[in-house]
Amino acid sequence: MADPRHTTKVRAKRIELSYFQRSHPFRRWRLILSIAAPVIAGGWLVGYAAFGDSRLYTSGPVATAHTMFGTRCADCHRSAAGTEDTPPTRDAFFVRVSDDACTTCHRGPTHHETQTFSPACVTCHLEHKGHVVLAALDDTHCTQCHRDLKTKPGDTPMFETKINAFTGTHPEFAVQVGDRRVRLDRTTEVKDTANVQLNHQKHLKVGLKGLDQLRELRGPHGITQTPKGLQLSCGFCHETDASRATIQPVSYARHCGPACHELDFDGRFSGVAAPHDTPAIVHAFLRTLLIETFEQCQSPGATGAAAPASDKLRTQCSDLGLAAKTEAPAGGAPAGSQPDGDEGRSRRLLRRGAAETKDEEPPAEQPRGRRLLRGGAAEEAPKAETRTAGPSPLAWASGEITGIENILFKQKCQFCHVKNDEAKGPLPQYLPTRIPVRWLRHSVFDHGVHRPIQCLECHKASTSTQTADVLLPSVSVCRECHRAVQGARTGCVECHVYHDKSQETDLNGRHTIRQLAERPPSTSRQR
Amino acid sequence: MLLDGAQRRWVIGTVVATAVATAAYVPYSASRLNGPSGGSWPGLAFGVAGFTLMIYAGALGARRKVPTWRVGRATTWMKGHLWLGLLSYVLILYHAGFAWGGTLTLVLMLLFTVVIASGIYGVILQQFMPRLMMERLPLETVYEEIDAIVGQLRGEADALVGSVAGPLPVAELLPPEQRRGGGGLAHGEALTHGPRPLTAVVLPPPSEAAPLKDAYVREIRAYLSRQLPRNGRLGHRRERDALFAHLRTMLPTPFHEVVDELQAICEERRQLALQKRLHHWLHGWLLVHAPLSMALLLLAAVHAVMSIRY
Repeated sequence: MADPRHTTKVRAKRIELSYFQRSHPFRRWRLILSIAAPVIAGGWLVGYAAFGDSRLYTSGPVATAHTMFGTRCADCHRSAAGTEDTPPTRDAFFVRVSDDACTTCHRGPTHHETQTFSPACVTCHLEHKGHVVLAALDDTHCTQCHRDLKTKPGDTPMFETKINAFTGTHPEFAVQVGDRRVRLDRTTEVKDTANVQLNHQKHLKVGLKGLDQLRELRGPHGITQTPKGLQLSCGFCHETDASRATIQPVSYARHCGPACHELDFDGRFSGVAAPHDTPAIVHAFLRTLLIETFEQCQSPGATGAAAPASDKLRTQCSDLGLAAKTEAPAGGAPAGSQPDGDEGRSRRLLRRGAAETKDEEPPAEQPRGRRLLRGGAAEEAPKAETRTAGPSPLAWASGEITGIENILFKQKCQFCHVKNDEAKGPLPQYLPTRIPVRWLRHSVFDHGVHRPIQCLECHKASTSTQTADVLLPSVSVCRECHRAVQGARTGCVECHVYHDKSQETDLNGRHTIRQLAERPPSTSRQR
Repeated sequence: MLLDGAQRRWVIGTVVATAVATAAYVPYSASRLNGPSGGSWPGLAFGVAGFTLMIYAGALGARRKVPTWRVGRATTWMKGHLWLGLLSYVLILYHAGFAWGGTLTLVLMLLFTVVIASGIYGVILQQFMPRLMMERLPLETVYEEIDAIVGQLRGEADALVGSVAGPLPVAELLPPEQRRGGGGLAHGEALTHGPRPLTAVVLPPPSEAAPLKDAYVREIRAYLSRQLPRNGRLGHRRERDALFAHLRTMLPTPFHEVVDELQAICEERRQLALQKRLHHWLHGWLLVHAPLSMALLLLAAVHAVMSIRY
């Protein structure tokens, strides 16, 4: 028998018939929360709107460079017809970013004149994706064309037409040899056509002659102490720019001349070196030096003073076979004893030349060398000689200069430079060195970020004995690190730049600070 | 709602729709240079479809508020809410391209995820909790009336013990708000029916019921209050049986019927407490699911307007 206190009738009588009309905490809370949640959400939106901040509605953070415009949607989302004179449409829907908005600040020149189409800016540079740099694109942007490169009708592609990835069908690097591009793997064809003679292997020799003096003169930078002696390191000659990205051209004055390849030419002119300049400049320098020395030796009393400098001049004059006068002019000093060396001599030569040929004063902007050359004209049409006794200084200098130039040009200049045999004239001519500042001009490379790696790992300079050797690394060397799996990045944009940065907009922009900094009055209206 | 054979058509429909959406999404996603985007035409199509289904799923609440609306059967609405709501999440994921986006879209996706997860949790609970309650709670009653019935049980117990052991040393035997019964009695009206009459003709004097009175005041009465004592012995079956067995030992035989009656009241109280707890498990997720759904729909509508603007 059922428990009488638990019959349906007894249990039903416990329940109040109108219980559903009363609010129960569970249902009450569900109602309260169902109202509160949308109210809170709406308040959140209203709060942002009250402060005029529309970042809430962006589909993602803008790029770092565009942070300033992150809350100003209409700056970029504007009608293409919008100009400075006609305000862009701001209250329409589907207002996409047009190229006009981008070219306000960026020029974005065409990638290549033979390309079949030019995509819109936003096709590649997609904002609101949290990209720090909008130019950091996926390879698909590049390979959409370069995996099967087409050009405008009538044009032939200059580059490899089937490239799908750096780790895939990216071709071997190519360098300019003459008027054509040659790939590095064509070893018989690829060569450095620079007109300079250099043996890298010899320069990297341990215990190279003169390194001790060089280290005293220049300090230890670029000179490595090895167990077997001193050795030049690559960085001594191949210095980077301030950004440490690009290697600067080698400079004679900084890297070759001091203590190594000085242009001294005659033991009778101790401590005097010819300038590293064109043969004409060198010739003018020598001619003037000889004339000045002659005059110093011939000046009265130049060798009569008891000063050590006078002894040196006396010896020099004797070596040169010049008879010295006994009376020295006030303040006179021999050329070789000038404390300021070549520069001082050049200045004095200039002053002297100016006194001799006032009617032929060259323009002030004319280079120093050209002004020295002015003496050449004097050589052809000498002024009235004031001296009446002894040999002519010009005649004596002309006799001496032939022997000196013979030594200087053949032994010094041609040690590194290539003579132009086709050139005619009294002075030899040398071919321009044409050392390329950048070998791979269609790419960028940052030496600074590769500094953990030894130079010789990529550039095989220690075995290079010929100038013609191209010491660029093969693409396979790059792929040792830049590989798809557990390697450095392999994206196209790591090395290649789409837009020609040299054609970027001028630094003098069109906006004022106020225009950029102040919140546009329509901001609150459009939200 | 039980996931049984009656859901087959909905399951198949949802799977097919998901497959079609996936078949459209994969090539679209692979062909886009910058990846899928909600602002592209396919992305917008996914978004519109997903938002439409979200609105439909949210309309279930309105449909329940107005049950007299003749717009489909309640079970059909419930099945649609379940499966189309699930499908909407897939479509919105395709719309977003599996990206979080900005602040608003991030909040939207988080809300949507919580709403969907809480809904799935609720569906899972509904697969076994009702059956569990039916098995374990033969005395199940209307959830909203549990507190009132507990008060009635306490009143009955007070009257029962007072009738054999004399006046109880408590301030008020039955609070006025609990002094009501069901069956059409107005609120606040006194309960007319008392404990059922005892069969014993001659009861021993109340002094012999002192152990009963003492145990009732100290332990049993607290168990019959609205808030169960945290450390009460009666919460454990073994101790509860031991207590009543001890009372039967201590009390003369005529009082055993009172003890049995008290034990039955305590058992009913235990079941009501368990029902309350299970009810909270079974429906508690709605406190998250429903409010967040409302907020989600509001923010999604704002997102739709603001995003198509740019």
